[in-house]
Amino acid sequence: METIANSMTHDHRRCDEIFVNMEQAIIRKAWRDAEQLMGEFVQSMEHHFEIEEGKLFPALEEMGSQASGPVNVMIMEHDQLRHLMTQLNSAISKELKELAAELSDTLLVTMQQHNMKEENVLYPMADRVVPGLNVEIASHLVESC
Amino acid sequence: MNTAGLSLDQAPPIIIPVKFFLTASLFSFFIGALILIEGEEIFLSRWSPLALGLTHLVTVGFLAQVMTGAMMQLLPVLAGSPVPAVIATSRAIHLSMLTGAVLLVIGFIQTFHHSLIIGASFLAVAFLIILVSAAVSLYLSKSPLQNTLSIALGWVALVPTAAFGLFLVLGLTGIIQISDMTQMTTLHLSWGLLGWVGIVLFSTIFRIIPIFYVTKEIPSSIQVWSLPIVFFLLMLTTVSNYLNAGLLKTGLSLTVVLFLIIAFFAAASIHRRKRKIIDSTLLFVWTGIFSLVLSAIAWILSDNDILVGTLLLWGVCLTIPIGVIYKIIPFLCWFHLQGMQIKREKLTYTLPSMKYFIRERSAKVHYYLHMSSFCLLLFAFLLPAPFTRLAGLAFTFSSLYLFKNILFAFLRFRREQRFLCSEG
Repeated sequence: METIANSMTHDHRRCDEIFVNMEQAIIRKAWRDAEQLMGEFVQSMEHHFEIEEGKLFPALEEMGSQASGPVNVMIMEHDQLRHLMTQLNSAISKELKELAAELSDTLLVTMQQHNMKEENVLYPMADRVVPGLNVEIASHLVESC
Repeated sequence: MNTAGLSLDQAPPIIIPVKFFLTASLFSFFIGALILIEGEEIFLSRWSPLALGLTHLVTVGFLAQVMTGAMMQLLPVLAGSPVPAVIATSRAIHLSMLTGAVLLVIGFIQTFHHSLIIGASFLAVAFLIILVSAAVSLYLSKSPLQNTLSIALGWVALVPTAAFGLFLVLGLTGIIQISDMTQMTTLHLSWGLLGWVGIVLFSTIFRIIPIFYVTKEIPSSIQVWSLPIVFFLLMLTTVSNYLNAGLLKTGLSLTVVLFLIIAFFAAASIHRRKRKIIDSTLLFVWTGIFSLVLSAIAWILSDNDILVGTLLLWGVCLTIPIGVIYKIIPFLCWFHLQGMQIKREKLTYTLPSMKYFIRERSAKVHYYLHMSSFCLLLFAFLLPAPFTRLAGLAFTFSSLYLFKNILFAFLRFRREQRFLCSEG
């Protein structure tokens, strides 16, 4: 069975793929494609956040109060990402290429440094302290594919 | 659950990396100025006081500052554990490293022994603080060892680099007798350039390229094990050198071949990236990898040490770190501001994007200035008289431009910070 780290990391890469296609559409000024891919990207990200905020983070916090610091930082970064996605969505719907390209670059860097923290620290920690959660998480991730 | 020390905290205060990077660009300015003033004299021999001064301006001046500034930022992200007492620690490192580098370079250029010894001692203190604080951070980290092994070994390579360096300074100043200065110098620079710089730079590239350009993962055998093998090979080379001096060249050749393989995988990964944009970071990194390959070929095919050194110091050591700076600074400016915005619940305030802090156009202008100085320096191998000083002039401008880009980014950050704090 897949570990939590493996399934969640795989889901990050899936979101990355959609992001790249969306960014290419912005560069090509294919606004209809960009809008559709942005919708797909937001949906995938929200589904990923939902698993983390609804299942993974509460389980980690239950195992000890010391996890609450890192978990709070991750939740704050989710808010940052949500805010950026809203801004990017608006730039795409207004067909502002330069702004959309700048925002997508900002979104990518923010998203990747956030993912790095999760993949390097939080997921391996989850596999150590709440390993039994892996089946539930894998089944939730399958729903989104 | 034991999470002692685990902290996925925010990045360190922005002033910390900015201070290291601005200081690095000032050292870079003095590199250009020294070449402009001294001209072709510098490149007559790698053993001349000027050449030694210039080499150390690049390594303990520019490189040490950039790599330390970047480490302060990257450790919390890679290891999930910040550097302990980051403000005091970074202040101590910055001051001792700055003082050490200035005194060491003056010591070399002026053949001033006291300055050499005091400079080397300050640097040893700076490196010791870096190693202890990074070790504490990694010890407290809950990240799997394979994620941090390469970067940690890269910093450990500073130990033999500094130890051989200290012995050489003691030998140069006549305090101790060294039977074979050339061999010890080769070990010092091999640990410094292939060990410390090579391993740290490539472990950073292996981290940055796949995620920021969305490439296929570099095979884990290469990503996780190639750089520790470089470290192991250097250790083996050092030990075997004392058993049989003939093994030095063989050991180093194997290490260089391994770096060529590493460079190939890094280049292939960039080439196959899904995100097809070409930004300034990619240009600097790409040029650095290409220069590394050229310098390895030059080392294998010729015995022109100055050419190998120029390709390595200019093309790799003065190039790749700039690409990293252009990724880190705009991100930090934006990240700190957005953190403030969320904390103050001012979500109606529209923050500028990362590109606002260092415009892509400015970064690319800097790349072209940097490349013009590099090309002029390579032309100087054919015609030293006008081209060396022209390269120095171009590099002086290029360094000022880097300083301006970092400073303006910081000033823009401060202005946005003021707006954010004053908004009702």
